[in-house]
Amino acid sequence: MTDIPTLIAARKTLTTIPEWTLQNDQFRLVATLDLDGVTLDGIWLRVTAYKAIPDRRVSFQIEFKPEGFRHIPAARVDWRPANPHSNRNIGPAHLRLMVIEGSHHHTFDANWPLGFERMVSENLPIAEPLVPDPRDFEGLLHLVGRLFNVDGMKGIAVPKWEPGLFDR
Amino acid sequence: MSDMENRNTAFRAIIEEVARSLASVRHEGEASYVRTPILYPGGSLVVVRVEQAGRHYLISDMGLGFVEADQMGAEVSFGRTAPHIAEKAGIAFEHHSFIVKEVSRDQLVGAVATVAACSQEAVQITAMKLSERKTVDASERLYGRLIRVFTPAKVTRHAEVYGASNTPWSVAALVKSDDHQAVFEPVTDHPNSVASAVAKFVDLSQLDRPPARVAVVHDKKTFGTRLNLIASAAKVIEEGATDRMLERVADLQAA
Repeated sequence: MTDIPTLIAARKTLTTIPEWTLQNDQFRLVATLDLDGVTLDGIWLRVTAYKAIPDRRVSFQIEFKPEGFRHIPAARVDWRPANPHSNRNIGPAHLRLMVIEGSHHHTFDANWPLGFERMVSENLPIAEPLVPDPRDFEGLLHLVGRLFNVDGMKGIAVPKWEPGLFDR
Repeated sequence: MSDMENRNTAFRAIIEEVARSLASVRHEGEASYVRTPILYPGGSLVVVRVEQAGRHYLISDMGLGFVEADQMGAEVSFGRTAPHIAEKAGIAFEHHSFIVKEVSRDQLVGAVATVAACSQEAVQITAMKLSERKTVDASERLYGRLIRVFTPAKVTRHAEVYGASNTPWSVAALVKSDDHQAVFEPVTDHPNSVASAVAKFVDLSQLDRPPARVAVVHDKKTFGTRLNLIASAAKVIEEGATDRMLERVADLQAA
């Protein structure tokens, strides 16, 4: 496998238009990625959303699989999450101890220097606010495609949300 | 009022503001959401949902702990851990969520705190187990290298070795020659992994004829001062060490 920072920085494309699956109350989607026409092994995009919660609590995560390990999160965008995020006193100086109330981006560049063991066991502990915060799902796809260097994101369908009385 | 008193008043006002900001609440529809200052390992703050049900209240973590574990790829491990945590605290774990039902007004504060603590603890334990599981992966890789360098006949996997305290220790790999032994143990930078390995190495180092002790780490730089701790009782090499280096630290000849 090409080294991970190079893969993350490279312009990639969704291999196919991925379909949502509904598992319990969650929409899930996993999409393989192509680089120069070759489908990459050990790196994919994983997306989750909640059936009863439209336009909130959507996560896009790029994951990679180092030899001998399982898939590990490399970067994640949490759009309108249920809970705020607080950075610890680690990482880039301008992000330390920052509390982010809304949408945020756990960037690869900020978390990779921690080493992949901490990336997984601490679930990408460093985040920065998502700017601009997309107004809708289509805007989110566009932004995530830019942040993750992935083309073809607009092919992902808007989840068929069914707003419920309760979001658990 | 003196300058000192003015400074004290301003300081106390700031700290009171900080204390008020540590927890907050958002009301939405039928439910309210209490933001606690408790952090999951990844830095997300624990938020607890409170809903009125007749004369009682229903408290839930909304499955946020599960989401944290799922993002780490550890949803199965979380699913095994969470029910035990809930049981110990006397609450329920249903549909991926920590829940307390039929809570009275007097019990609300305790219920919110308990649900938040359970949710955080379950994710914390899941993350620790993940760290241990990664060590298992590292142990497999290490064994593969050792049998290539020293031959399978000389390498015992998951061997039991007694320390000076007569405590039996399980080591990832024991390499034996006629008159010499070397133990190899993968160590992650997680404090638990370091503590467990150091206890083992120290006990083995106190033997009359101690084996060579080798800690195998992914990246020495991530250990900080804990590297000194390990190095006080074992040699430390990185996973990418050459075959020649493995022989040298083991004080053994390769096959």
